[in-house]
Amino acid sequence: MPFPSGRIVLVWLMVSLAVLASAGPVQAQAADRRFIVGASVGNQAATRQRLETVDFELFQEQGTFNSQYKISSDWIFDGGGSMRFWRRAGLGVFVSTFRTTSTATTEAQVPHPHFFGLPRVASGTASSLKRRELAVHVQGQYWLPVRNWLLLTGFYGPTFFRVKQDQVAGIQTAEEFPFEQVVMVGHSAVTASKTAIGYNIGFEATFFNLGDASEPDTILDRLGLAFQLRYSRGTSPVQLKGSDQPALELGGLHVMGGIRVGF
Amino acid sequence: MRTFAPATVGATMLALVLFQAVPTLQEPSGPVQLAATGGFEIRQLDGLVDRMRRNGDLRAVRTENDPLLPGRSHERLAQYHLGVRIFGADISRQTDRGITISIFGTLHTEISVNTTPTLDADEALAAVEEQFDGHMVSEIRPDLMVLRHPTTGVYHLAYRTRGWSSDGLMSCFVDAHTGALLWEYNNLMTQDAVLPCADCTVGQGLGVQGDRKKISARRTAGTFRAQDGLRPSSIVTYDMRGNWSRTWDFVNGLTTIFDSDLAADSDNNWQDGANVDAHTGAGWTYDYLYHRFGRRGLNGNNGRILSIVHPVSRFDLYNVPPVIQRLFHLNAFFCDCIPEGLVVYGEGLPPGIRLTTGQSVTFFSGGFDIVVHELAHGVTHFSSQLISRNESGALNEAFSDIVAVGAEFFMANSGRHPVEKPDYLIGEDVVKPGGLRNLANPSALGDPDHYSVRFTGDEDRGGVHTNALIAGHAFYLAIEGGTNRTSSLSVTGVGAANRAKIEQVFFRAFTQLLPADATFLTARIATIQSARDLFGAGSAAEQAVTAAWTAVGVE
Repeated sequence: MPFPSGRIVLVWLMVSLAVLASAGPVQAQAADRRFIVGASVGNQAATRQRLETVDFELFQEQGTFNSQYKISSDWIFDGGGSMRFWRRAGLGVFVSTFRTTSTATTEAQVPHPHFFGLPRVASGTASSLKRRELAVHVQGQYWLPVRNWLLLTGFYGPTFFRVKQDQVAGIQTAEEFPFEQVVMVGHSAVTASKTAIGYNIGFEATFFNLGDASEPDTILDRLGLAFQLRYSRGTSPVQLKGSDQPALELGGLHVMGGIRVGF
Repeated sequence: MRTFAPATVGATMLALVLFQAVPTLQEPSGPVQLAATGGFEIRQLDGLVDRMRRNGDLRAVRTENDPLLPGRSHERLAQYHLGVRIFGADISRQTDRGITISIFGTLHTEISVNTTPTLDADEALAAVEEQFDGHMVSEIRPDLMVLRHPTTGVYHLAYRTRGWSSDGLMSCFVDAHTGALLWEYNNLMTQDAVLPCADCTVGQGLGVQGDRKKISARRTAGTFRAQDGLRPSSIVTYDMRGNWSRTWDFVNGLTTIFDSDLAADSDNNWQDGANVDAHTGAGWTYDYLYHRFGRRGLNGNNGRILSIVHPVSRFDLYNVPPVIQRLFHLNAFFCDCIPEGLVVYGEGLPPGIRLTTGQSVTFFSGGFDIVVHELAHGVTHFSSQLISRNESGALNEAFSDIVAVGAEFFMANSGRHPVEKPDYLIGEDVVKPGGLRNLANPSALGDPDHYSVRFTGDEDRGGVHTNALIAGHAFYLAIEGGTNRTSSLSVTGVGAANRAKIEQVFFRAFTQLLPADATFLTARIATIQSARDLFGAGSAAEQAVTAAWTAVGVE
């Protein structure tokens, strides 16, 4: 269901202010860190079904085909940094990229070359349809140093998506007399490129002090391992000529692990 | 020089077979009609056919696999006398994996004729041109044949050629010794009023009735031409643009037509209803023959299907010779004046002018049943070659009516052309009101519905168009059931849902089983045999066909 982007930003600001207002004293060491940068890799769990309908003209008559897409989970790469600017309140910006290749099942009603109102059904699959999502997640954060070696961070904020989605724009069919059957032999695809604003919400657990605690200034002391759960979501309208299509659903549940460097 | 040979067939043996056991439809003298469908007699007759074939007295014309019954094949053999073909004498033999199932045919047994011609073909052609009141089709070379004169019963060695007279396309037989014109008959199969690639495209057009339909055309040099390149047969429609003299020359073999004569449209949105209906109707007929009977085009081998539209201008009605008026205004006809045959669709009458019956006549291609009827004559021409006179001629016309009705129902019931209202009327969309024939109730338009009231005069080649209704009505009764008005006999039809069975029974019998000189009685036996072959002995189809023929007095 589409979420108005203006409302997202407003909600994000209000939540951020609330987080800031509730910020309390920070524990030593962990609380001393003001900057954290890192990179993660994980999985965007987002199995989505998508049905597109496209109309076309053939043999003096309107035909139509439906493409059923299944966008599957795939790897996601994420990187960025956070800054604690006041007490436990922080601000983070992370950029993630998600790429996957999907297959669409296409079923077409193909007009008959000789008769009006006598369409034939053809079905086929369109493979190698790519989706690329580039997302910038801006986060208002709440830093909670539970232990000297454990930092929990909760976050919420807007996500700015840019998506490129290959779509089945046309089908190629082969047929011959008596024209009772039609075979789908190929398809043409176009790449739709759209931007959208959504949101992201989640938490991260970061484990520091991987090295010797008595040697606090080693690089290992600054390194941390992070586990993050993030949910981001956005929608973007996509419209091919002569088509009836739902908006693209973007993002998903991100389950990631990565490294962090704290300063 | 071979002279004056007596009959060469095993006459004694043949007579033995014919008169002892085989159900024959024997005329008092002359040719023998054969109709054997089983038992001892068929084995004897089968042996006789084999012997005659070995002797060269029967020669294979063609053998076709049965598209409706796998394993069955139909062999058509023509009878020869001392190497010369006998007109109207042929045998059709149905086999099932080599076992003979049925034999129908006409054989001549007492031939006595000198088979060495005195005249050669050119001399014969010159002789007939002197006596014939019309134009000979010069491209058709005369065939040497043995003719049994239908009136005198005397056998002659004759050349057969064809020519146009005021009565139509005549088959002429001229004595090969004396050059005398022996006999002529009108071989024009008509629909008479009382008086398939890279450049393939799909356009649309409006028919004569204003119905919208798709039209298969080819794009050539920036224009769209009525050439169907999507079906296996090349279906072409020529628009003579009212040039009747050129049309006349073409059907007489005096000129040719070119691609520039093809019906054409500049934007593939066709507005000439006569062109649209002729072209689409030919394609639809191909579809019906293919889907219902497995037949590939008129000749069964995807031969070209050629139609001619606008052979004359409507408004030249009073400026053309009577023969042109009758043929090109008030007629549609199949003509074998070129090897693949062609159909010419009449132009009808100008607005406001009516027949003496008060009926108006529009473009003949505007009636889908008329289109199918004429093209079905092409099927007959390439299969049984039913001779277009007397009972065989009536069967020829009946077959065309039956196929026309079947195609109408097929198109409507399959959703291909929902505008079409199927019925048992012929020509009702062209000759209004009333149409030309009514298979459901022949007497409503003055045609016989029973053999006992058949037309026995000489007009219309022995009443081929009117007596056709006897067989056509039997077809109707076999499907729909009902009571014959003359005999008061009731028939239980197979029902409209099973109409395809009766269509197949008749089509198969008329194209595969019947000989060229068939009679109504032969047609009865052949259709019953066809029903047994297709649907089993005692089947509802066989019972309906049997009862229907009995109801119309053919038994």
